[in-house]
Amino acid sequence: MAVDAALYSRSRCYFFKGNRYIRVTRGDTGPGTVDSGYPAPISNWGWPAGFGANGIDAALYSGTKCYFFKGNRYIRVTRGDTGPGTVDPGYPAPISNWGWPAGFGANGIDAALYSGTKCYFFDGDRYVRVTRGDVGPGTVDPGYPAPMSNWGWDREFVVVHYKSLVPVTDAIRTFMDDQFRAMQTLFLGSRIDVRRGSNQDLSKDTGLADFLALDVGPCLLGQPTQEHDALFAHRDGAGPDDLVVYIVQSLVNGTGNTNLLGCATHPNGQPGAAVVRTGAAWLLAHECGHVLGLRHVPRTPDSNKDRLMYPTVGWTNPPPDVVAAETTTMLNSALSRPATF
Amino acid sequence: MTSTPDDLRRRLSDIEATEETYAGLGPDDVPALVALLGDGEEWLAARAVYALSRIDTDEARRAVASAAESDQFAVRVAAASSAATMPAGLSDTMLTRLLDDPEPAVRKMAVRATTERNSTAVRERVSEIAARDTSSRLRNVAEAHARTITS
Repeated sequence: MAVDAALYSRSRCYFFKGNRYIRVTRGDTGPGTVDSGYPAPISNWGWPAGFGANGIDAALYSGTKCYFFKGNRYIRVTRGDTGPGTVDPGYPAPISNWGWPAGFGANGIDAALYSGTKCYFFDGDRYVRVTRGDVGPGTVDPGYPAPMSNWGWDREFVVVHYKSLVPVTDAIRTFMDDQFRAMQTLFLGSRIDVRRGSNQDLSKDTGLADFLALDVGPCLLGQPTQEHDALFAHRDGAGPDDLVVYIVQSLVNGTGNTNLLGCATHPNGQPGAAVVRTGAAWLLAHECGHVLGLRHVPRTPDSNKDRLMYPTVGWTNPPPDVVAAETTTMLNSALSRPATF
Repeated sequence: MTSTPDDLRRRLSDIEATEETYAGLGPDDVPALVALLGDGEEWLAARAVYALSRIDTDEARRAVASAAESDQFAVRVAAASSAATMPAGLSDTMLTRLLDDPEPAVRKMAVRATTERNSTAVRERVSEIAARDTSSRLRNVAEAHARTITS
């Protein structure tokens, strides 16, 4: 289902695959509608000297001009929204005319992107950004070629399942959804795609009723209580690296005569956390952050209150911050897995 | 200086509360803590109970005792946990109610709060739970605990 190239052309878009292409009428977003008579042979474009007879590598909209790339050659075409237009004199021409540095694109490019005053060209794991008008090679911006990783497409993902010991009423469902959305949005900034796993209502399991108040002790890393061990064994539907979040009514430190809002202590090999219902929007993100290796930040300076891992729910300047080192820690966790593009 | 409920809401906002969370609270804070017992955030209402249990005044103790009759599950759990810190007579009154709570989780916390200084009647109730409670895990908890409080 891959395409070789795509071309924006105002009211139309073109998609190329092998020796065929389709034309689509569409607005700014959405799939639009494939126009009648497509797919059509790429030979309809009437390119000279066998250029692109078996397909193209890339296409670039550029105002009154369009560029099509194949191997180490390209053509420039004058055209409107539709139709093949007219290949400008002197084309096909060698791709070296673009003057890209450091051997970039010498044997062809993978893709091209018009972006107003800038154009981007992609070759393997590198890209260049070029400042240019409708015609001409323009000027490659300083610092390019640059690695494709700059685009941040290489994400990792984690899967989070809910198991609720509290009856799943509308209020609990809203809590689960709100907490999940807040975490999902926040962690996207750390290139972590948080995926929703299963939801299980365990409130009817009378054998678990006493865990509605879960004694997590002082909630120390790597030191689960007997109640942790018993409850966290319930992982139906969760993979070994998935996080399971248990919603209980009360989290208790039985030895310390106090309560907690969340605790990320979990038995070895059963990653997860326990939380209580609260209006604090980023509790789930905080606890999952712990599971992915994050620790609390100190209470001082005051600016630490902006951080997700501040140890209270009194976050300032929300949404809370996840700093680069914390992102690295979470990406390095064995529980966050590559979701390569 | 007297705290307001909002002051205390901030002060008690630790995700994982420790002894440090409650440090410095005193008799002047009792009215605001009592106000928090009705807070919409159930965990905060419960935390107010834990805070009150650390303040050595009659007013604070009465508030903790009243928590045993709360409609809020987490508040009753906090009352059960705190019963062990109350004077023996008050602890007996609280545990007599909480050991019969309809929620197994509250009964569990009440069992664990029962000590040798509680009345014979309260300790015998723990033994009854060990023998007859509907929750098998609670029976086990009570059985193990009964051994530690029966001399």
